[in-house]
Amino acid sequence: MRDQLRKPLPRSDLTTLFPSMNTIASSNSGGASAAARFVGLLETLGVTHVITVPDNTSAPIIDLLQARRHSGSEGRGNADISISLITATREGEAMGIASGLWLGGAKPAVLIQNTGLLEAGDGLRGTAVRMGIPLLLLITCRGFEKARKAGVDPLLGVQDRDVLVRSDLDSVAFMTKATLDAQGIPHWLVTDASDLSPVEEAEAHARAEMRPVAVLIDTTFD
Amino acid sequence: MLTKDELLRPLAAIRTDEIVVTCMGVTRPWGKLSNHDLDFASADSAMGHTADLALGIALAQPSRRVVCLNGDGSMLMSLGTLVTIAASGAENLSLFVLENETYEITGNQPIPGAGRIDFPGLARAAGFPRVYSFNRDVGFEAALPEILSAPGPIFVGVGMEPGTEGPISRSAAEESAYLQPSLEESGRRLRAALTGS
Repeated sequence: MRDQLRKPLPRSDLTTLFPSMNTIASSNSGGASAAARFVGLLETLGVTHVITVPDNTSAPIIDLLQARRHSGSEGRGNADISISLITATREGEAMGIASGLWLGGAKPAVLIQNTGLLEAGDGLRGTAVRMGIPLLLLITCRGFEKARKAGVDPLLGVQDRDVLVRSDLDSVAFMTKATLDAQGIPHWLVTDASDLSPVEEAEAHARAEMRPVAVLIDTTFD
Repeated sequence: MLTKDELLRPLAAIRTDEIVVTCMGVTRPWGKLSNHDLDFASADSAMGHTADLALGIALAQPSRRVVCLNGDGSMLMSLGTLVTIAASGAENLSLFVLENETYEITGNQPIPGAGRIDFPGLARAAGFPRVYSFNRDVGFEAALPEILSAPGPIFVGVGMEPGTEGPISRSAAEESAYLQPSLEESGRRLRAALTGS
């Protein structure tokens, strides 16, 4: 399953592969928001810092972490969130900060949009990839839904010139998978915010192979 | 303006358990003065990402001082990092920007705005609470203990004489011990030195 995008497995298969999923699912089944469940999973995985440049999809997650940073006591008891939030000026910078955090003994994750993946370019290659850092890249997928509505599969890449210039499409959607492949970054796909098992699988893969991995987040956390 | 020797020799003399992150034209000269587990060269990496890397280390190791020796061309490439560092509240980070006004490694082509950029002014505007500026060696050595201990983040702009360092490799051919392992191995060693694992 690794090194390729995949749809989430049925829940019965998930609990076999990831026994902890039962615990995670049951502990978050009491009305917690999708964003809170996502943050809870990151905590379970031991993530210490999230470095981000926000977008609309990641905003509910960032709002949770931000509330912890500023007040530590509002919302759903955010003082209990152990993850520190760092907002970067651009995504390449986020890669450098994350890599430094890992060198210093922390366990960072980067939360960015797929446009930011393209922006990061050499900042990603020359730090986390080159250093063999087990960095979890959480990448929201601008343009994927728009592409599907137009009847085009964004994972097929740039099949023709039209997808680059059509105003009803976001060209970045067609470059996302190819960019990860070009950087040698294995990637997983989340299409349902209630099933975050691909995040667990990706994180385990990063540790096993000591390399950055990506989770494409093709869903919302509303 | 300071020579590399005037900059690095006093720093090496006073340094104890600080993490020192180098790049570009000071990478080799620092390696000739220091052989320490907590030296890290941002070489064979990505230009413009030494300051953000150092920030990450500083945030992960709040009880240790991190000294980043960045180039002016590298700083220009990620100027927003001045804001990120200032906003981070990393009190243990001392960021030096060595202003030789050229891309030394590639043959001393001038950086954009050479002779007109006010890096300490940029740092102040970005929100650094403590900013130093040295264009001669006068006062530099005396200020170093404070630069390495006062609450930061600290910015230190240093006017530098032009240098003649060429491209840096990571191989056994390099004289400096910290340039002989790969970037990956150097990173593992630093993490191990800092965490004991």
